[in-house]
Amino acid sequence: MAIPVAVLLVVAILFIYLTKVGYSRVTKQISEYKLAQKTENILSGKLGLLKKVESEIADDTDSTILALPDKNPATWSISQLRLKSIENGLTMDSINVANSNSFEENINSIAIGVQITGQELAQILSFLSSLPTFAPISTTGEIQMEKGQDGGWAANTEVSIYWSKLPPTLPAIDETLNDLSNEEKTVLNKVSSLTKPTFTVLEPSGPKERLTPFN
Amino acid sequence: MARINLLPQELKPKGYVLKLSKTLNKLALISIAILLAAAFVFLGSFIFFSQQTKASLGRQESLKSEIRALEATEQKLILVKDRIQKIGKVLNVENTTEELGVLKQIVEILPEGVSFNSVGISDSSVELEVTAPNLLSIGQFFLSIVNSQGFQKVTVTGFSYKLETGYVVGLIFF
Repeated sequence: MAIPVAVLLVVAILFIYLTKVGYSRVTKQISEYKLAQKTENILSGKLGLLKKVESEIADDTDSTILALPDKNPATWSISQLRLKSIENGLTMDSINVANSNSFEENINSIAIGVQITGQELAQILSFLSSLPTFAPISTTGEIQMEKGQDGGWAANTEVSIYWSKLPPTLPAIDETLNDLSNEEKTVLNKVSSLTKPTFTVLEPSGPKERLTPFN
Repeated sequence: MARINLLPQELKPKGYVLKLSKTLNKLALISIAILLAAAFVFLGSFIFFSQQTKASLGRQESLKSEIRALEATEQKLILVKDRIQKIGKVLNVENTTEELGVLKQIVEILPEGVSFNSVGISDSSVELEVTAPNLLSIGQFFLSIVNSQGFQKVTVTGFSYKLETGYVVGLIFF
């Protein structure tokens, strides 16, 4: 009778030890498996998204970088302002570029003071209405318009333009990457419709014969 | 051959002791079986989930290498999301776009004979000065403003008469 009692005792001790150790190891392994599954799903989703957007992302990148460049876009904006003033039959009397300041963390801004004159108020209103329609994006400050002695109109306003450095690093490869939300797509559509600045590409001229170089 | 028990009858174990001994033997065997079954279940589960985890890690490596091949696309998508987020902040800045729309409304209801002298637009109001040759034109203008119902609040800031220009009225539209 002593042997079965001893066997029962030993089995009980082994069972307690097995349950304790075995259970903790199995639950740990299950957690690791669930984590691996979760990471695999994230990677799979990310890969699917990248394959989906691969063909269309280039145009979106161009539109957004022109709307909010990574460097001070004062020259682009001044070019756009001059173009719009000419389109509306206005004369641009002066343009003043102020010092840059920080609009928000990671976004810089600069104010461009604009003075324009035209014969009709409607021309000035048309010019002012066109300011939110071109890239780079801008916001218009206070506007003052005065009627001159000759019946013409003079207006001055401050147009603020913005730029921001590019993101320095990519997120970790196993971090979730989501597609654009509906709100983001609305902003993207708006940005894509902005009039882009015109860039002139100067080609270097090749060698050519010149018979009288001193004339 | 007959079985002969040489032990004296007084030393024979009692009935209940024999029964208990048999029960304990059975219990011991059953407990060993349960222990072995439990060990098998734990070991089997551990090996199964361990294999599954290894397979998942293998698939992850394959996915990661495909994602690395599309790094340029990922950079562009991150850039687009970054730009859109910042552009959204800029577009939410208070500016004079809405008030420009108010001015256009005013231009549409301006009656014949009434003309602007000056216009000032801020991010919350439109301030203007108009000239009219007579009170009738001023009245028509005020009536048009009231009937349009497109303005939250209109305040008259000045009312004067000049011989050269006529009636001069200052207004602020909110």
